[in-house]
Amino acid sequence: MALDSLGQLTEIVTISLVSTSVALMPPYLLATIGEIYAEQSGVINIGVEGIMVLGAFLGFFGQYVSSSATVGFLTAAIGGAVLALLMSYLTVTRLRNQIVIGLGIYFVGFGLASYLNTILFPGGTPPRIDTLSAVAIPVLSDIPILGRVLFTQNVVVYLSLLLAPVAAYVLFRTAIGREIRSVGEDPGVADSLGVDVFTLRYACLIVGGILAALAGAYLAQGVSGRFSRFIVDGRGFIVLGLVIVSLWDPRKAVLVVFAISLLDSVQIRFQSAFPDAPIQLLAMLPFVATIVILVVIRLVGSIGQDMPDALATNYERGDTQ
Amino acid sequence: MSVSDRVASATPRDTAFVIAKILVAIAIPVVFLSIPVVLQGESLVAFFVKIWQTTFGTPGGWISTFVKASPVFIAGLGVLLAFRTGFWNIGAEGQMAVGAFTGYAVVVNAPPLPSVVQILLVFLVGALAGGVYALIAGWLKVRFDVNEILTTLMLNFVALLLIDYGSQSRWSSPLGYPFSEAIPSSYELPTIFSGDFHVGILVAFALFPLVGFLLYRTPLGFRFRAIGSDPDAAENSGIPVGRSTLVMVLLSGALAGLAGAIELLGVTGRLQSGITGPNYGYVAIIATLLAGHKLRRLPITALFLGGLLAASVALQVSISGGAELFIIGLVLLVVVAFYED
Amino acid sequence: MSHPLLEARSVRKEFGDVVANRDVDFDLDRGEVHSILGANGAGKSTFMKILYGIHRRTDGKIFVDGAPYNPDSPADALTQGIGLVFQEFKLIEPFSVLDNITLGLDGATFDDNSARHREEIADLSETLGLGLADRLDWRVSELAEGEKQRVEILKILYRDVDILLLDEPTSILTPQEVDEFFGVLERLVEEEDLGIVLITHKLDEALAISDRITVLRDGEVVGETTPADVDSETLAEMMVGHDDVASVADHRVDHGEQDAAMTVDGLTVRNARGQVAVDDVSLTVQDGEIVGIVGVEGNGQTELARAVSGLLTPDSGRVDFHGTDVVGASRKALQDEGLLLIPDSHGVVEEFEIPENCILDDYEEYHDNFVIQGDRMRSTAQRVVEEYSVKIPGLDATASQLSGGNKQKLTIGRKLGDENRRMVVAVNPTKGIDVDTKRFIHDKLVQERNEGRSVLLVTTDLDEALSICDRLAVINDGRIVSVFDDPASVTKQEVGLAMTESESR
Repeated sequence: MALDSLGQLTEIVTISLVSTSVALMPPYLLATIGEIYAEQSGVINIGVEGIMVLGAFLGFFGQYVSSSATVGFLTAAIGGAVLALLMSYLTVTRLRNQIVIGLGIYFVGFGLASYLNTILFPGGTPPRIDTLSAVAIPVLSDIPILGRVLFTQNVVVYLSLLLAPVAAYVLFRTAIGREIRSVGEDPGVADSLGVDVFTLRYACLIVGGILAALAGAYLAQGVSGRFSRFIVDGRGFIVLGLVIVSLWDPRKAVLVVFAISLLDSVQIRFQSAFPDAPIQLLAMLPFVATIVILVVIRLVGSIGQDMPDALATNYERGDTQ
Repeated sequence: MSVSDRVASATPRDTAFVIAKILVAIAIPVVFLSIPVVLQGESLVAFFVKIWQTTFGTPGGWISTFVKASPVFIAGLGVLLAFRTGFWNIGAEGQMAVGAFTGYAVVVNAPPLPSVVQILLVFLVGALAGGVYALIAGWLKVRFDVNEILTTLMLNFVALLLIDYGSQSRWSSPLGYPFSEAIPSSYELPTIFSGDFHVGILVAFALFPLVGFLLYRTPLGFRFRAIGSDPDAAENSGIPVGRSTLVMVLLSGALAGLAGAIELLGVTGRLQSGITGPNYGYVAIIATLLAGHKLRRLPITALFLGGLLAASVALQVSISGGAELFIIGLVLLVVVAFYED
Repeated sequence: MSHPLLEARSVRKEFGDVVANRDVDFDLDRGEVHSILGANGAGKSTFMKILYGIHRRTDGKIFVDGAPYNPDSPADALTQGIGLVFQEFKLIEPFSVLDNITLGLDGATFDDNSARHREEIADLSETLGLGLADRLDWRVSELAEGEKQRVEILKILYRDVDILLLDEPTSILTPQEVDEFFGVLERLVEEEDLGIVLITHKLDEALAISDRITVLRDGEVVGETTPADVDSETLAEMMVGHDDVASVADHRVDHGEQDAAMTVDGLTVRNARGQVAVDDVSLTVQDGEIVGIVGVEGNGQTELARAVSGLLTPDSGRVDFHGTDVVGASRKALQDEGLLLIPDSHGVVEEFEIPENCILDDYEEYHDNFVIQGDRMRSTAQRVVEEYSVKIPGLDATASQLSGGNKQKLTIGRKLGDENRRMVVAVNPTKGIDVDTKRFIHDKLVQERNEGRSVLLVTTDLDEALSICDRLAVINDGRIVSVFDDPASVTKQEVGLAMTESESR
C-alpha cells in the first residue's frame, strides 16, 4: 500500500512538474520565435528584455482597467510594436549601431514600465488580476499523462505551441520566408534581385516586438497575476541565447524552450520545498547554462551555417555614383 | 601632449557639440520628471526650483550629484576603455556587484588592521575580483570567439544573484531583512564637507588623470588606442591584439569592481540587493556612449547623469526604481539618433 | 535599319579627378560574343558597372535596342534585360540552387515559389546544357566554383535577359571548367540569341571565344578587332603599351655573389576563404637584390607577402630567413629579426598624430618607466619627416590629414629608420602615388639594395617592377610561372603575357 502511494506521489510530482513547465513556456517561446524572425532578417534586438517588461506592465494594466485579458494582450502588443518601430527606424533607416540602440530600447522599455507603474499605482500594495484559467481540450485532455500535461493548459500555451510550426513553415517554405532569410544572409544580393530589404526588416522587428510584448504580458496575466519590475528577471536576455541554441529555427526552439522552462519550474518547486535554502544559487543556472551552451556551440563549430551571415550589420544601398 | 593639454585643446566645435547634446538631453528628463510632480498637484515652478536645488544649485545638491556621479564615472572609465578597444563590455553592472560582494567578504573575514589598510584592501580585492570576473567573458571571446555581449549580460544576472545570496542568505542580518549586517565603522569611508561626500569620490577625481595618463602616455595605452582605432594597422605593426585585449578587459572590470567596493564602503555600508544603486553599471555604459567614447567628455556626461539621478531621488520619482532608466534610455536614443559621432 | 543590341558612344566616367573611362565606344549584336580586354585598372570594370547600373556615366550615350538606356540600379538593369555575372558570385551560400534562382521573383507571398518554378528551371537548364537539373536542391555551398557560376548564369537567364555581361568569368575556374564554360557560352549564343560581353584580362581566352575584341588601356579604347585579324603578341602590346624606356635605375651597384637573405621552399598558403592562394611556391632573395613579384591582383601575391612576413600561417612549406626557419613566427618576432613589412594598406593609424605613427612598430623602445617619452618620439618624427620630405600641416597633424603619398612616405620612412633591418617586404608601395613620390620611394628601395640589404617587391605595377628589380618573378594563379633574371632585356609584353596567360593545360 505504502509503495503504491509512493509511486502515485512520484507520478504526481513528475507530471505536475512537466505540466508547469509547459505552462511556463510561452514567455520564452513567443519571445524566441519573435527574435528568430528579427535575426533571420539580419537585425539583433538585445532590448527584448525591455519590451517584455513593458509588455508585462501593459498587459497587466490593460486587463486591470478593462477586466478583459484580451484587452490586456492587445495593449501589450501595441506597446511592443511601438518600441519595435522605434528600433527599426533608428537601425534600419538611420543606420545606427544595433547593439547600442538595443541597449537603449532595453532601458526605455524597462524604465517606462517602472515609471508608469510608479505613476499609475503609487504606493501601497500593488493590485492583483485574475490569471488565465486552463482550458481543457475535449477528448484529448482525457489521455492519461499527456492529457494533463499538454491538453489542459491555458489558451496562450496552445497558441504559442501552434505558432512554432506555423512560423517555421512561413520562414522556410514560403517565398516571403526565403526573402526574409536572404536579407539576413546577404542584403546586397537580395536588394539586387528586387527584394525589399527595408520593409522586411521593419516587419520582422515589429513582429518580434509584438511577440516579445505578448510574452511579457503572459508572465503577468498568465502566471503571476501581478506586476513588479522584476517580473521578467532576465528571461529576455536568455532568449538571445536560446535563439542561437535553436539554430534560428522555431521548431527547434520548442525543445530548447521546454528545457529551460523545466529548469524554471524545478527552481520553483525547490524554492517551495526548501524555503530556507539559498535559492539564488539555483537561480543562476539558466544564465550559466546559456553561457556554457554558447561556448559548446563554438567548440562544436556548428552554428556557422545557420547563423544569418549579415546579422547585426546594417544595410545601406550603395548609391549609384 | 599631457592630459591637461588635451582637455584644454578640445576645440570649440567639440564643446559646442557636447553642449548641444546636453541641452537636448536636459529637456527630456525635465519633461518626464515633471509629470508625476504635476500629477501630485504640485506647482511646476516649485518643481524647477527643486531640481535646481538638488543638482547644481546648492552645495547640498552638488554633493548628492557627485555621490551619484562618482560610481558612474569610475565604472564608465572601465567601459570606455573596453569599448575603445572594440570589446562590448555590457557587464559593468555585474563586475560592480562582484566588487561589492568580494569587498564585503573581506570585511567579514579580514583580521583587524589599521583602518586605512582595511579600506585599501577592500578596494584592491574588489577591483581584482571585478577584473577577473570580466576576464571570464574576455577569455571566452579571445579563445573561443564567443560574443561578449551575451556573456557579459548573463554574468550580470549571475552577479546580482550573488549579491542576493550574500545579503539574504549567507551574511544576512539576523533580523531577517534582505540585507546584510552593517560594516564596522573602521571600514566606513571617511567623509568631508557634509555627511554624504565620502572620500571615494576623490578616487574618481584621481582616476581621471590616471586613466588618461595610461591611455595616452604609456605603451599599453598606445596599444589599446591603436587596436581600437585600426586593428589591421596594429596587427601589421606587430601589436599582439589578443593579449592586449585581455589586459584591457581586466582593467575594465577592475574599474567597475572598484566602483562597487567604493559604493559598499562609502554609501550603503552593507551588502544589499540595490548595491548597484539605480543600475549604475548600465548608467555607466550610457555615460560612455553619450561621451562618444571620448575620455575628456566622460566627466561631463557622468555629472549630467549623476545630477539626473540625484534629482529623481529628491523628487521621489524613483520610489520603485527603474524610472530613471527610462529617462536615461530615452536620452541615449535621442542623442545617438541625431548626434552620432 | 536594325539596331545593334547594345550601343555605347563616347562614354566617359570621372571619379573626381580620375578619368576611369574616356570616350569609350562599344557595340554588341545579337548572337555575338564581344570581349573587352584590358589589364588591371584599364577601366573595363568601370565600364561594365556603368552598363549594369552600379555607376552613373559622366557623359556619353548608351542605347539598348535603339532606345536610350539609363539604369539607376542593378535591379533596374535586370528588368531592362541586362544581366551581369559578377566575378564574386551573388549567391546565398546556405540556400539551395533552386531557392537562389527563384529569390525575388513575383508571386503570392505565402506561396512556395520554388516549387512553382522548379520544372521550368529544370527545362531551361537542360536546354542550355548547364547540368543543374538534378542539383536543384543542393546547397550552393556544396557546389564547385564552376557549378556555382552556372547557377548564377541560370539565375540571370531565367529572368529573361537579352544581354549577358560576364566579369572575369574564368578567373576561378579549373581548366576543365573553362572548357565547359565556353561550351555554355556557345549554346547561349545559339539557343537564346543573346549578346554576350566578356570582360577579361586573359587574352588567349578572348582569342578563343570572341567574335570581336575591344582592347581598353588607361580608360580608352585602343582598338577593336577580331581573332582572325590579330595574334597574342599584338594583343599584349595593345594591352600594356609599347616598351617605352622605363627608367631603369642605372645607379645600381654590382654585388656579385651574395648570401641568401630569404629562401622560400614549397610554400602553400590558403586565403581567408580556405582556398589555395599560394600553390607550392619556391623562390630565393639574396642580400643586396630587389626581387619583384608581379601579377594581376588576386593571384596570390598578397597572401605570399603576408605569409613570409608572419601575418599568415602557411599550410605547408618552409621560409628561411637568414638561416632560420620562420614559418609560424609572429610579425613582431620577425620584425625584431630585421624583416620589415610595408603593407599595401593600413600602414598608418589615421587617428594617430604623426609622431605616434612614427613609433607604431617600436613604441616599446620609447618608454622609460612606463612613460612614452614625447620628446624622443617627436625627434624621431622630425627626422623622418625631414629625410623623406613628408609634407605635413604640422607635426601634431593626424595621419588622416596627409595625402596618400605622404602617408606612404611616412610609413616607409619610419620603417627604413629601423637600424636593425635586413630585409624589406614591400607590397604595392606606390599604389595611387604621384610620380615624384614614386621615384623617391624607388630611389630609397634601390638604396637599400645598394647597401647590401634585400627587398621583396610585390606589385601590380609593371613599370615599377621593370624599373628597379634585379630579378622578376611572375605569379599567376598562385604559382610562379616565369622568372626573368634580366629585367632590363625583357619587354613589357613578355611579362604582360606571362601575367595574363591562363594556365597551360
